[in-house]
Amino acid sequence: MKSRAITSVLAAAAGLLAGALVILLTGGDPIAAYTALAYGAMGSGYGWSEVAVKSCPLIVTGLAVALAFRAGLWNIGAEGQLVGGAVLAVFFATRTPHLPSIIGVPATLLAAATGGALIAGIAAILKLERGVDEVISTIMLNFIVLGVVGYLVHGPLMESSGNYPQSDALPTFARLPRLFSGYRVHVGLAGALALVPATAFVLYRTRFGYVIRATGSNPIATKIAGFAVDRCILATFVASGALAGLAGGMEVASVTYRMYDNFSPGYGYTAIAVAILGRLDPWGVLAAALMFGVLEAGSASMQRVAGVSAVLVSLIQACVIFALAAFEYQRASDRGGP
Amino acid sequence: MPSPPPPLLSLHHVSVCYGAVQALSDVDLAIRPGEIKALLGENGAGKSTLMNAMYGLVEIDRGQLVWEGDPLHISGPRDARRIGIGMVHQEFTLIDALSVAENLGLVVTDDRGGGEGWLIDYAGVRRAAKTRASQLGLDIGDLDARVGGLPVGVRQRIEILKAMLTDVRLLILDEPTAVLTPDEIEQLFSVLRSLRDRGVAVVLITHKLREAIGLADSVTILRTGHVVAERQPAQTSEDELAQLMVGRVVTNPPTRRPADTSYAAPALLATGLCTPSAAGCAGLDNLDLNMPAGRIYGIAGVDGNGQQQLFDVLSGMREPLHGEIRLDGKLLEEHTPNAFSAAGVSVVAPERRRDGAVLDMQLWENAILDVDLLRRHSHGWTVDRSAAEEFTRGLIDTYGIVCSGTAATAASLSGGNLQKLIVGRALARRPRLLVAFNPTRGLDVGATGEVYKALGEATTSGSAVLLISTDLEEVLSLSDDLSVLFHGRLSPPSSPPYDRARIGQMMGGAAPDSPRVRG
Amino acid sequence: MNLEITTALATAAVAMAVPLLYAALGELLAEKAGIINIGLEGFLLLGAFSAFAIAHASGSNSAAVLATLLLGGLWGLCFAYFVVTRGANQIVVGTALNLFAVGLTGILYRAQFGVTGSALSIRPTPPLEIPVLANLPIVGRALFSQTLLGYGCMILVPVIAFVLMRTRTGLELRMTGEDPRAAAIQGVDVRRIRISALVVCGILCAAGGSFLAIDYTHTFVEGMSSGRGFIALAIVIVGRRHPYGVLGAALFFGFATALQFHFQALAFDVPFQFFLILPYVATLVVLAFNAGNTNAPAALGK
Repeated sequence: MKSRAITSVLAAAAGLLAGALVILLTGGDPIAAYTALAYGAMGSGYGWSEVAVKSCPLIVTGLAVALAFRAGLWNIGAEGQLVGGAVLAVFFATRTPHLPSIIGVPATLLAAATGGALIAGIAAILKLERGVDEVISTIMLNFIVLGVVGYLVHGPLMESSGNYPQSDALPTFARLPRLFSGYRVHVGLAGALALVPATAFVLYRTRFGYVIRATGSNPIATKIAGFAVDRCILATFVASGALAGLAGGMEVASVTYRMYDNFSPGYGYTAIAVAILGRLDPWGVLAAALMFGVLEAGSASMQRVAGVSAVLVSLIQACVIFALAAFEYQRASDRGGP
Repeated sequence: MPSPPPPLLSLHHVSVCYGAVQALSDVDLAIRPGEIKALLGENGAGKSTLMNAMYGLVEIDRGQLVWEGDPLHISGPRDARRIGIGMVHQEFTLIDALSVAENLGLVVTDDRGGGEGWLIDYAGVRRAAKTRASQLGLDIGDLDARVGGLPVGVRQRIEILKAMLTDVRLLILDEPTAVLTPDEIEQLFSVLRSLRDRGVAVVLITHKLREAIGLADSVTILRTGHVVAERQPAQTSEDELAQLMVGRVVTNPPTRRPADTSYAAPALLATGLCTPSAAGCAGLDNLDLNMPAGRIYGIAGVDGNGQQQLFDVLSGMREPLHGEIRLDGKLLEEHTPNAFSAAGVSVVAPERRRDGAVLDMQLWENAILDVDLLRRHSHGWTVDRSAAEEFTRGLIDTYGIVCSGTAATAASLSGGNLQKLIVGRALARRPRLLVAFNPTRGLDVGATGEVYKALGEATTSGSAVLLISTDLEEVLSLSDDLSVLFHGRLSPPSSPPYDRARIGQMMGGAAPDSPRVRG
Repeated sequence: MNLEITTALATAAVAMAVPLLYAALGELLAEKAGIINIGLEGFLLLGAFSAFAIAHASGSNSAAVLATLLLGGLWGLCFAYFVVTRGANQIVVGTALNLFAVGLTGILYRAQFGVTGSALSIRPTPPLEIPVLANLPIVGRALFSQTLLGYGCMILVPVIAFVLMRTRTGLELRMTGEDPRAAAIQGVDVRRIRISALVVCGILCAAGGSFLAIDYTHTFVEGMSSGRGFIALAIVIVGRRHPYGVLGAALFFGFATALQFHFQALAFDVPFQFFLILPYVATLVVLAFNAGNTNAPAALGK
């Protein structure tokens, strides 16, 4: 476990180094850029609040992806599940008459989780009934969801004023309250943080988690041993989708308040990087999500102050994964992940 | 007496290590043309490593190979073939999705015209293959057929043809008879003898004493990576070879308890099981099986006659096209391992590392890799680790499993110890039916004895044990009842003392002529 | 539908299909070798950017294409390093590749060209017309009045089919994807084959990206690959992993994408997103009804 943490830290450093190199190559000043990034993210209360805001979806989606990968399930569809969850949440909240917040918020989040679970469920059924490889099916579903959302915000879900291709704003009873006025950090952060030890408990201490890990490591032996592997895969897939959907719901209920095209800046894909960097362990995922959250939060500042485009963050994230791949020699036959 | 011809290939002080494991130590070996040499040894003796070293699949750390007096450096199979060394592997190297011609294409193109051709002349490949096949008396059927759909015997012959497409001067065969019927074995032997008479050197890797004595001109015995002896078959016996092979007096398997001849209610009643044949293996053909409790029922047969299908059906992994399975009179309706396990079926699968354990997990986690055992060692939803570890320690003590503790990963265990854990686990839940398929494959004599003991003990607690094995000796020595599986059908059960010749014939397909009388 | 619209549709369909076909053929070769590359999107994007940037800087489209093809081989090699040499997980590296391409092209584009409101453009390459055939109704302009890159992918299809079925390299490639262990025992250099397949995949995607930037849009926009790399994955599946199947699927999806922009040609009113998601839905349908019979190499992804 320890050596894995060290490798992850080294990989993170390598990613930052690669980013610095690219900055240099394009005539920028890496020190200035990273300083601006650090200050932007961690130099003020507002910065920290933004880190929390950016990390929150990454934590929850990262957990979703890690859980699936742990079962040997290549859920590349977190993006679609997240957006799908957000859409269902918006649908529910904007079509429901007024509810007290104490019910409204959980109900909205439940709708979000359900949305994500349904989309994941499609891929799960395709896999279990028709043997469809989940890598392809979840990728396809991502794009299908995006297309459907595009249609919805230009049509049935479009705001009543009809000005922009976006949904109505979420009614206040469905919104996640902010923790401090003036800052965007919201209650959802507490939920995300609570999900980490909860996921760890499920994965390492419960029977369900045992079957997940055994299935991910050796599905045939686990099946021969009499375990209902198909049920485990279905449950894990749906749970993963629910978590991703939940993340989408949290995002729309606390940050964006509306649904629109390009609702997600690729959280679902970044979550894959988060899960890998976190070595598919819930606490690792938390650390990785926070690191990426810092990067995302500071990127606007980096762009404004040092003139380095915020899209560098994607490059850094990618190089972290490459570094991990280079440091670790995995058995070529081990498609089952770390 | 005329002096023997000079060696074709000789090994001098050859050593090979895999990391910390010394696979071969200081091996001296001489292989002469016109001679069949048997390389005898049990698993782990180094036979495979030696063979791979001769074929260029493994690098030699110390020592030297000499071919016709000159030092030899083989960088890979292509080199080996160029020199004139051919090999027939135990695990087939044919690619299922491709046709026979495509499987031969590379080899044929290699062997003519320097092997640099970029275009493959399939017409030429077909011609060469047909010619050579008839020369050698090998019937390989349609060259455009997809290999995956061909029966095992045909694939074996294609493998041999592949190895002998060019003029091979040294032919190595690795346990070639594992999948052949006794008739096919005789056919193979006559092909090998005629090769020998033509001056080819033949090396036969085997652990079957009978073959070594019956076919070889000289036998070299390997044990733990050393050459321990050389013998001429005429001057030795199976017993001596066995002793040399294992290094100690071979103890007989524990004497069977006297068979219980009183009528016992069937624990397992399977009727009319049918599965389609696939990929060279016969499917089950209206198979009936009637097994009483408290006994070991052995199923003998050459691999490929439906053993895997039978195992798959009885473990619940596969649903038969037709047929019923009743355990203690109750019909098993749902054909999943989950349902079968709940009904009281436990299995020991043939591939332990792939099917019997989760190598990444720790021993205590593997020890409870069973729905029932997991439940027993849990508090509601959570797993009770200390209870599971205690249980594991119990298994370790009972079966003498060598390991570094309950937290060691399963990957760190040797084959024998892992198998002991798996068998112990299967028995710990006192199953109604234990289905064991080749439970001692690849195990040394010591571990094998432990497994036999465990299987015997299972019957005393009332379990019915079904032993499917391609090792005839094992089936003969353990079974209270024995049937032969041939082309998906079981012969009526026999009881000890078993008529070896008769059983061998049934394995080859001879129909049992008169009904056997139990007694 | 009148002739003019049909011709326009056909031309658009083929033009849309070309980059898809390049990427799909590249992926086909990679998958035949047993490797699944979900980073096609990244490859295409990198190809589009480098072709655009070099063409803009040098003024020569041909130089840009050649240089991009070379670069394509290079990043194919990089992918191969991680996936073949280091044995890293193919899905993970592919995902990282997509992220990397977005980041790198974004940074380089903004650094070179600033954050512009209007897209910079390059001089389009004049098409090479084949006499007589170019005047055929409907298909003439689409098929026989193409740039070299356009013709290139058409020629590639039968070439790849031939290589796969009749040459030694093709046989070694297929063996590697089906059973690398058996192939290795036969003396096939599995590593070399896989690396070569990925390099060629990189080159082909680079060609597709070049076509996208230079011949089709004549510009570069961030994220302009817009899902084509994933559609290419779908094409390989729908085309049953056979060169001619891939060609058919690419044309079909190119047609569906083209319909998006010409939907007024249709009698009924369908939201354009329908065509956007058509390839993805089609793939799911094909996969759902072909359970277990997709022609996938046995060792794909392992």
